[in-house]
Amino acid sequence: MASEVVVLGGGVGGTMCANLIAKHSQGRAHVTVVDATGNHVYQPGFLYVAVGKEKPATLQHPEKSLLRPAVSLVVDRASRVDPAAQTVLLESGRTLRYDQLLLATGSRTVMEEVPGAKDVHDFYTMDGAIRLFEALKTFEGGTIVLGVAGIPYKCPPAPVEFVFLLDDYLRARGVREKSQIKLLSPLNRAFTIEATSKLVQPILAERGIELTGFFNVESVDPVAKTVTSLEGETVDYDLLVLVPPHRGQKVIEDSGLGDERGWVPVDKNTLKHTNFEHIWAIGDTTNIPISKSGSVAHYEASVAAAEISAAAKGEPAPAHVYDGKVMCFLETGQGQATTIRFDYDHPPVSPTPSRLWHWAKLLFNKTYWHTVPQGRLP
Amino acid sequence: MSTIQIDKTIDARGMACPGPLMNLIGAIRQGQVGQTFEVLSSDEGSKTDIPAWVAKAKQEMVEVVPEDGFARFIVRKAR
Amino acid sequence: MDEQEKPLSLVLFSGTDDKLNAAAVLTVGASVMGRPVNIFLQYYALDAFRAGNVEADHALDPEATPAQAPVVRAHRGQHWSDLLKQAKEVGEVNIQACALSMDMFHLRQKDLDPLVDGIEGVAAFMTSVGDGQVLFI
Repeated sequence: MASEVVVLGGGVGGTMCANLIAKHSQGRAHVTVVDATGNHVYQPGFLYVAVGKEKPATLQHPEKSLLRPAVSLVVDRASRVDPAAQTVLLESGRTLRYDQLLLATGSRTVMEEVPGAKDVHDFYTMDGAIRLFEALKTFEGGTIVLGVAGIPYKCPPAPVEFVFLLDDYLRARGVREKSQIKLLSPLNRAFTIEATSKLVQPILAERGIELTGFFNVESVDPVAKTVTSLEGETVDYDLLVLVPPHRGQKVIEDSGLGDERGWVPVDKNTLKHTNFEHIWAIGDTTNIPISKSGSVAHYEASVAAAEISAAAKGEPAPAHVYDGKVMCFLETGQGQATTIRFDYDHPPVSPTPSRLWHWAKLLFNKTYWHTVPQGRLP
Repeated sequence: MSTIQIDKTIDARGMACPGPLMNLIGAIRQGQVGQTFEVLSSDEGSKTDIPAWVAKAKQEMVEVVPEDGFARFIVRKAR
Repeated sequence: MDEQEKPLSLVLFSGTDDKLNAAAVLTVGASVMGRPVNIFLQYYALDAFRAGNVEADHALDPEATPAQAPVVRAHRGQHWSDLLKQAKEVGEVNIQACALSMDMFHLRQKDLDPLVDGIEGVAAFMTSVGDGQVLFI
C-alpha cells in the first residue's frame, strides 16, 4: 500500500519536493500538497514590482499546473497538526492522515508588530510592492529610507538590491537629484556577508546612497515621520520602506511544532524534525540559523525528497544530506549584479558585479516556471 | 567556574548568512530582558562584530569562550 | 521534450581566451535556464584545460584587430574557468575531453584541470547531444 505523504505549503520548496518525491518513489508514495490559495507566487519578483520592472500577473501561476499529475492538490489551510495521531486538520474541517509530513509552510510578515508602522511601505508582499510602486511613481523628491524592523527576514540581499534599483528608478524619472536614499543596516556594514559587503559599499557610495550601520528599527512615528532604532538613534523620512518582522505560519505555532515564532527545530543536514517522528521541514519555516531564501528551500527540497522517498519505501535514509548550499543573486543596479555562493564548509564568494549576472538573474526569473518547481534544476 | 544559565543557544557555525550577529540580534529582539543567549560562531569577524554591537545596543557581553575552531558568545538582554 | 529541457551542446575547438569566455557565458545562460550543457573539448580548447594551464594567457583570436584587442583584454570580467565552475554549481554542466585530441597531445585524465569531468569519443558525445543543438566554437 502506498505511503501517504502530505506536504504543507505549495511554495518553491513544497512544490519541488512533492514533484521529486512523486518522481523517485516509484509509485510507493502518494503525495498531497496542501496550499492555502492554490496560487504559486514567485516572491523574488516583488522587488521588481516595487520599481515598475515586473507585472504582478507574471509572478503567479496556478499551483496545479506546476505539479506532476500524480500529485494531489488540496486548496485549504492547515489549522492543526497532531504528530501523535499523524493527522492534519484543515480549516474546512477535513482531516488528512499522513505517513510522512513535510512542513514547507514558509514565513509570514507581521508589520503590525512594529509600533507606528501601519502605513509604512514594504515590498515583502505583492500588495505592498504594488502600493510602493504607486507611491514611487508620484514621488517628487525627499528622503526615502529603507530599514529592517525584524530578524530573521527573507532574502538578506533584498534591502541592498532595493536601494540600487530605487536609485536607477529615481534617475530614470529625473528626480534623483532632489532625493536622498538612506539604507539603515542592522549590522555595521551594508550586507550580512563581509566579502560581498566590501564589493557593494563602494558602489553605494558612488551612487550617493547613505549607509547607517547598527540600526535595528524598533518603532515609527508616522506623525513626526521618524524611525527609531533599538540602539537609540532616530532618522527622519519622507517615504519609509521597512523589511517587516517575520514569523512562521500559525499552524506551526498552534500545533506546538515549533517555537513561539513558528520556527521548526530540525537537523541542519537531514532536515528531520528534532522532536517528532515522520516529520521534515524545509525553507523559511525551519529554525536553522541560515538565510531565509528561495535558494535554501530549493537545495533542501531535493534532500528532503530523498529522505521522505526512502522512508515511504521503507529504505534506509540516504547518504545525501543538505550541506548548507546557498546561491543568491544580488542586483547592484545599472544593469549589473553579482552572485553569492557558499555552504556549511565553504566561505562565501562573490565575483565583481557584471552585466552577465544581471542577465543570468533575469533569465532565471523568467524561466523559473519551467525549471525549479518541477525539480529540473539540481 | 559558575555555570551560566543559557536560555537559548544558536549554533551558527558554518553559516555565513545572515550570520551569527544577525541571529543574536534576532534572539535579543524576541527575548525578554534578563534572558541570556549563546551564539556559536566559527566566523573570525564575530570576535569584533558581536562585542561592537553589544556595546552600541547597551546589552551585556557576559563572556566569550574560545573553543576549537569556533567561539561561544554569551550575551544577556539588559534592556 | 520541450525546448527548455533539451541539452545545449558545445564543441570547443578554439583555445583563445575570447572564444572560451564566449562559450562560458553561453554555458552560464543555459544553466540558469535549467538546460543541461554538454561541452566537448577538442584540439586547442583541450590544451587550454590542461592542469596548470587554465589561468595562463591564451591570447585572443587572430581575428581581433589592433583596435579591438586592447578593449577585449581590458574587460575585467570573470575568468572563463570561474564562469564554468559557477555554471556547474547552478545546473548540469558536463565537460568531456575528446579522446582523439587526448591522444594527439599525449594526455591522460590526470593532466587535465578538475573542471574536466571525463574523456569520451565523438560517438558518446553525439549521443549526449540527443535532439538538442550543437554549437561549434
